[in-house]
Amino acid sequence: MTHHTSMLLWIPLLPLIGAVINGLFGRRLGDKAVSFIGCATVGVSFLLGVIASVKVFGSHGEDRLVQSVYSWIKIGGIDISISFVLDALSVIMVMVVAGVSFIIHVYSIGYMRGDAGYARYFAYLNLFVFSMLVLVLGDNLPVLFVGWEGVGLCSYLLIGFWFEDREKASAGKKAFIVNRIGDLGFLIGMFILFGAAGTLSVDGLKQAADSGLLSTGVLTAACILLFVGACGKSAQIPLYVWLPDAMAGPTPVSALIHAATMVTAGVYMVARLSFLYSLAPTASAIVALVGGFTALYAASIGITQRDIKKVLAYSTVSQLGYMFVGVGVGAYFAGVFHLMTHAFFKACLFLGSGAVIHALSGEQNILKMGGLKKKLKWTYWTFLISTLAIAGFPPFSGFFSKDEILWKALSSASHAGWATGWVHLLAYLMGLVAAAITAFYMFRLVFLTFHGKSRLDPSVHVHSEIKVMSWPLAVLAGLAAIGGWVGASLFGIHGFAHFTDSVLGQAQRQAVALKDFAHSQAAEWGAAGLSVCVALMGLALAWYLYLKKPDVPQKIAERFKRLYRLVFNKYWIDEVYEALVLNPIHQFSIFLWRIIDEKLIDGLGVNGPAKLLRGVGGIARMFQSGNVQVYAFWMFVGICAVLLYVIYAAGLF
Amino acid sequence: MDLGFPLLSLVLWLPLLGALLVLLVPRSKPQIARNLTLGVSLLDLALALVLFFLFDPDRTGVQLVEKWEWIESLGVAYYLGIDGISLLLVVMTAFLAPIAILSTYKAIEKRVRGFMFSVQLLQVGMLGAFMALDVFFFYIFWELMLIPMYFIIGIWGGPRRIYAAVKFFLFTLLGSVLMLVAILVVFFTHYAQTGFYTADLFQLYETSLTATVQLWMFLAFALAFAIKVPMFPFHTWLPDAHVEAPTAGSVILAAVLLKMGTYGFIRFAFPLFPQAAVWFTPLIAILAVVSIIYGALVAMVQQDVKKLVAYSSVSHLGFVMLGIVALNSASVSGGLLQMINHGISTGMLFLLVGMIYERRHTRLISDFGGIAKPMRWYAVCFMIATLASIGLPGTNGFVGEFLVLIGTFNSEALPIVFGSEAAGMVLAAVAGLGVILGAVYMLWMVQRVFFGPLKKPENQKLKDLTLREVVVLVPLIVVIFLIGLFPNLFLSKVERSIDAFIQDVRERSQLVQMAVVDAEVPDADR
Amino acid sequence: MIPDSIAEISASQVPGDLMAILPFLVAVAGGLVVIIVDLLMRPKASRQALGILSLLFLVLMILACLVDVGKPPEMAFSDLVVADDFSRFLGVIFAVAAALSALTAIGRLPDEGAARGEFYALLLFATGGACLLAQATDLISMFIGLECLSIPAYILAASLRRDPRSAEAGFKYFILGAFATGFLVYGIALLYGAAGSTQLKEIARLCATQPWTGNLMLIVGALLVLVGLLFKIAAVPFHMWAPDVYQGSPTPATAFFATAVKAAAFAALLRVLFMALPDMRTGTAGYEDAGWAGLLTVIAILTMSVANLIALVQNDVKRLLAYSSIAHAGYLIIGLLCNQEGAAAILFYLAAYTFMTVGAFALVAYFEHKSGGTSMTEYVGLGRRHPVAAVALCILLFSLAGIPPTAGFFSKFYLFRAAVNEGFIVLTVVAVLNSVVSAYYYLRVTVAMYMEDETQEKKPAVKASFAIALAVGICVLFVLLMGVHPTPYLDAARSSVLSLF
Repeated sequence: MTHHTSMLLWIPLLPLIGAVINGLFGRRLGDKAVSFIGCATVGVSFLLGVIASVKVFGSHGEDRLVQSVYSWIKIGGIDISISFVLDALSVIMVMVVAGVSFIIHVYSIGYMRGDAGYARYFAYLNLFVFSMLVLVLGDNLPVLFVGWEGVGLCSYLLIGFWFEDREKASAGKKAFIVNRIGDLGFLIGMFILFGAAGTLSVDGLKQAADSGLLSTGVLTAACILLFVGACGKSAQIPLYVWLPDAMAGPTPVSALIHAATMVTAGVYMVARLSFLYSLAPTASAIVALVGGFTALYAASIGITQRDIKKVLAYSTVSQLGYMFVGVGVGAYFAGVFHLMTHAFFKACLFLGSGAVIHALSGEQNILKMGGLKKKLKWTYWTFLISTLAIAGFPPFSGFFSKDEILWKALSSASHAGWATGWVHLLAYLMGLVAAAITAFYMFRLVFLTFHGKSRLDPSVHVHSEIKVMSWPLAVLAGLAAIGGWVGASLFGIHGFAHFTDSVLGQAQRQAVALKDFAHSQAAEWGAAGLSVCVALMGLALAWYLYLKKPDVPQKIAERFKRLYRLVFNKYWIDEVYEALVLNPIHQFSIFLWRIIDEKLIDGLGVNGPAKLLRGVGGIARMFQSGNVQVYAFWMFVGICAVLLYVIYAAGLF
Repeated sequence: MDLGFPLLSLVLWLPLLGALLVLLVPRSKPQIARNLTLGVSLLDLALALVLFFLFDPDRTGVQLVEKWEWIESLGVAYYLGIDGISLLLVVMTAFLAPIAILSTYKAIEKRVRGFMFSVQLLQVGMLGAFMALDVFFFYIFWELMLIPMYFIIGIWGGPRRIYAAVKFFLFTLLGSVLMLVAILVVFFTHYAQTGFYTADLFQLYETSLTATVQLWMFLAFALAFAIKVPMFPFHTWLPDAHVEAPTAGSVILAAVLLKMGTYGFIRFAFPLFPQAAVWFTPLIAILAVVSIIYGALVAMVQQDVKKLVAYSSVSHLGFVMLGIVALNSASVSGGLLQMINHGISTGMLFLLVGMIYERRHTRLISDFGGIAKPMRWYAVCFMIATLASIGLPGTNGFVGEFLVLIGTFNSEALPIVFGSEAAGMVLAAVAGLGVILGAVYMLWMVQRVFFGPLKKPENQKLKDLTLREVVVLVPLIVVIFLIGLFPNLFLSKVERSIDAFIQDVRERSQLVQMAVVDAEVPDADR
Repeated sequence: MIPDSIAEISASQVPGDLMAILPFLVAVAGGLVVIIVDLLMRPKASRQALGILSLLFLVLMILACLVDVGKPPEMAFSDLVVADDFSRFLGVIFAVAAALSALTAIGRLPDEGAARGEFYALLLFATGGACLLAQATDLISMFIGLECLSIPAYILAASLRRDPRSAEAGFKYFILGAFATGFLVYGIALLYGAAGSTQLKEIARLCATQPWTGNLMLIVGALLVLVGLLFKIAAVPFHMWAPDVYQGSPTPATAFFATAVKAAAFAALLRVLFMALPDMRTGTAGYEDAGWAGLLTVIAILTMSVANLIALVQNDVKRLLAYSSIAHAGYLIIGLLCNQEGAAAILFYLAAYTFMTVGAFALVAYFEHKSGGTSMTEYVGLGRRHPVAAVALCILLFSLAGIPPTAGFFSKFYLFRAAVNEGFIVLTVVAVLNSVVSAYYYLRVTVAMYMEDETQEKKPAVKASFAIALAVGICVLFVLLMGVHPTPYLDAARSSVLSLF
């Protein structure tokens, strides 16, 4: 059932208003007013979201609210309107986005206190919330794309927030450009769909897909290209390179944008278009494969990182990989489920790391920490809960969501066709290994930061925790702890799946892999047990290496020096890009400018004839000697030439 | 609804009146000359806005027509009129004039009267070229633009101004004289077929020319327009002209003069020689895409901000050309919108570059760094212009690029003329790379100019925008978002005209027949 | 053809005949009056009054031409001359050119040491000769007119007696002119031999009755006449005298040579080609290339291209304008190929060209006076020092380059229009390309005036000469007027050529 409403617009609009006020007048308003406007607008928009959701929730996700604001681009056969939709899927996203945003806004009041760009920070943050809400509420692809690029912009602005640092500004630029590469894929994907379906609204596309208007070729191409966009936004191989660098931004930004919300946009998009992906098995397989591989790959890098935020960044990449495995194997709700729980625990982890960094006045190297457990109690416990969640220990949220994904991958592997099944199995295995690694590096992080002896620089004074920063941690940790129970299918709780069924269910059933899904309780328990086992192994190994025998890791690193350096330097991917893509383009551009433009076109094509003409003129001038006999001679020659010409032409000779 | 009142003439000739009035101002009172010019341009803008609202979007064909005999014996008439396409360009021209003039208040200190005279004369030329519907009349305006622009670059320009001015003049003249010959040929062919002399554009559309003649004529027209656009490889006058021209000159050059080329394709080259246009479409399409990529790549490695923006123009105008040749309503209207957008955002970028140049007397990227700190609002404005230029959704640039690309991607014409189903898709995809490169060169420049440590002492003392500069920039920002958020305000005005253009070209070229043949072949196979 | 007997001319005919050559008579009378008044004046007194006197006669001459406009052609002196609109139109051009040159001379000559009465007298005689040439319908009267024009011109060229370059110019002009005249006379003789008459119409009639093919005498005779006239218009390869003469002569005289003399020679060319040799235009059947169409095409291309190319490398403005005037002759030749519209285009072009060229030379004279030279470097910074004069020169130069909205644009447009109409597309393309090349050197002057940095110290400003200002003002006014509202001049040119066909 579709209800029309005029309320949806205000959900994104309020943060925008906040952004404009803070951006234009923030400096004059003072920090207090800025904080209030920043938080209040997001808070109210969260409340509006809650009010709107009640309708949808109340009907088990079968209702949807629609608001068409105005016709945006209308020409020829194109008719795109600014319109929003709130259904079971976007409700979840609005709740997560607005909710987590609100928490992080509050946290930022403490974290950013005293920063010269305080107002600017809140303006950007509000602008981000606006863009993200547009993204999740957008009723058609172009509107979604508005938010999609908008969040990219905000990410750019916030990563380079401290722009005086060249590195940070550069990281922002990198993020934007890599995102743009993905966006081109997204754009072309849209064009294909428009060409085939004649519309870009989600409803229209769904109808086209249902009526069989879209051929498999079109669907596959479009889905792959849209996924390229998702790779950019959600930091999947090969476009993940910007995300680790994005940690240059303020930590709350990392928590909000680069962990909880924006980077999950790709997953959301695939889920939103699940009705297309479910009809394009090849594209879905690619999604699953890329996701699985990214999960494993990023996790492996996480092992060696020393920067607390970098570890979390790679873990984010890795977790996003899981989500894509979920949506890739056709378990769309599982992907979204993990998206939600990940938002809780990863935001909490980042905020926790922010608290640590804040307490240590900017220190980010975990090798120079240790033993902070006692001094940062709130931080430690919330961090630990979230770590348990991400590592997949029951009964924390991550366990349920990650397990759901792994289980769907595994169970579908046996039912899908040979090729697809193989892919699913591979994705499952990569996910399983990644789970072990995740547990390992996350506990490495916890142990190195909070346990053991302090390796702090003696000059560093540990600041005490600030309340305004601690409360958000607690809230998030709470959600990370229990948030997974809404979808604890292991215990027969299918709330999440049921709720999203109106949006995702049809596609889920359509997806080749999950058709005729045979449910075996025992197998599911077994798979879950296996997951817990590998997580425990990771935990144990971390305990052994970093608490029991802290000198071993060093030895291992030296023993496998080359491998270690390869992983530590993130497989030299940035350098490879630099050498194989950026430098050649740069050199080629200089060649175009200096040689083609200046030498060839200008030199030869433009100035060349000009010089030639002047040269000819100079030679012709030499006949003009001033000598009258010479003139008479040439005249005579001229007359003879004229006569000869005519006589010859007239055929007189 | 044609007025009994010659509104178009008024809009057209008002700046000439202003130009003559400026000459009466004593040399010792430059401020009066400035204010006078600004006043006249604002009045002209007001009239242009009246035009905008009087224009009836639901009517096909030209409106507000004024037609009087001028040189009757040669068939040359004083013939003005606008359709949706020229309407937007006229309004944009009138809109940018006061902005450009206001921007010169401090920058132009020598020979103020001469400058104000030239700017207004230029204005007449530009408006006239957009309004004229008699080919000879058009040609006169087309060439009339040369002289003032030549002086603006040559007198008030930078160190290499003479080279740039002469190059600009000769480059454009070369293109246009050949067009004149072509105009004459069409004119006489039409005379031979109908027995009466007329240079009425729409009557000349009816001339039937043999394919060979069309090809040559189209080449002559296309050369003139391609130089003006400018398309690769005729673009090299542009960086020189832009870099050397004073700020207002660059603004007008980029914003309006370049549009003469693309407008020329829409109004003249395509409808006059539809068959040839279709025949040359593959070449133009490829050159357009090459321009997009080439301009972007070369822009990337520029060391001078202004030159970078100049090369970016080559890239942006490539989108416009691509949109035009893709020949469907989305792509052409996107191209048209992109013409306006480029005028607004690139014009704004040039204004901003001019502002920093006034302060620091350098435009080299390496002379800056970190100036977002002392010049906050300047940085904000620059960022907005940058985002508009790289087509961020919500700004004007996105709508234009989106329409061009989606139109090109799904173009019906391109696959036919290329003989390949994938032609439009490939072209759109390659052109799409330009969108990425656009972000690369603009953001890289922004980063080096605005971000990073503020090391140079001269930069630390930089003053932020003055009130006058804010007044110059704010209208542009408003329009950036206006078009970005409510493009229908403008698209609705042009829809009819563009449909008429497309239908006309399709029908009179062999495109329709070609399509029919193409469609029939598989039928026969079955 | 020599009239059977002079006695046959009845007394009653004489006044009518004299009325027919009234403009000529006014000019000659003016010249005589000037000489007499000059003799009566004190030797040291200023001769500016003589200039004004000559202006008076030139104005009378214009009136004499205009008063009969529209009347049907009127033959006189046993068909030796005709008074038609064609000659009247050209008469006005000659008189205007002479008047503007005289105005320039009034403002300029005292500085050149040529402040003598005979300058004006010679100017008037030459103008009279030009009138006669334009009226001639017989090869003999044409020859007389030509000499009446040329001989005063040779003297004018040499009139700066203290300047060796002027003497050299006069000498060269004379020697080479005589050389060319020799060919002309020889050509006349051959034509008479072949056709049996010197009457233009008669020649046409006789030629039509006999085959051209193999008629060497006719062809060679026609070509030699052609060559003699091409010399006068300084067409390549008979142009070499022009730059030296134009540069060495006093600038007012140069202005006259470049306009009136050229216009007169074109008048003769039009008469000869269209009245006497219309059939030869395209050659004869089977020998299409033999006609003057092919030949003139080549000469037109050569003339404009060579002149423009050499002008590119000139650093002296006066010499540059000399080459420019050669180039314009090249464009004008195109008109000869295009029948009626072409002839009208030539007349219109000549009128426009007269204003822009005399104006430009007048300004050269003015600046020469202010700065002491005609080299391009002397023009640097003139835009600041003499803003009004510089603007005027710009307008004239843009007109010469053919940029709208000037007379120069419109005349080129009209000419090319005629050419395209006749199918001379390639020739037109060559011409327009040439005009682009020419734009370059016209621009160089504007660059010097406005754009180059002034290095030398500022020269003191001198009071402007009213006479030159007036001359330039008239030129600029007409250049703009004929560009914006060409219709009356166009109609006049079109109706004036009717009598040729």
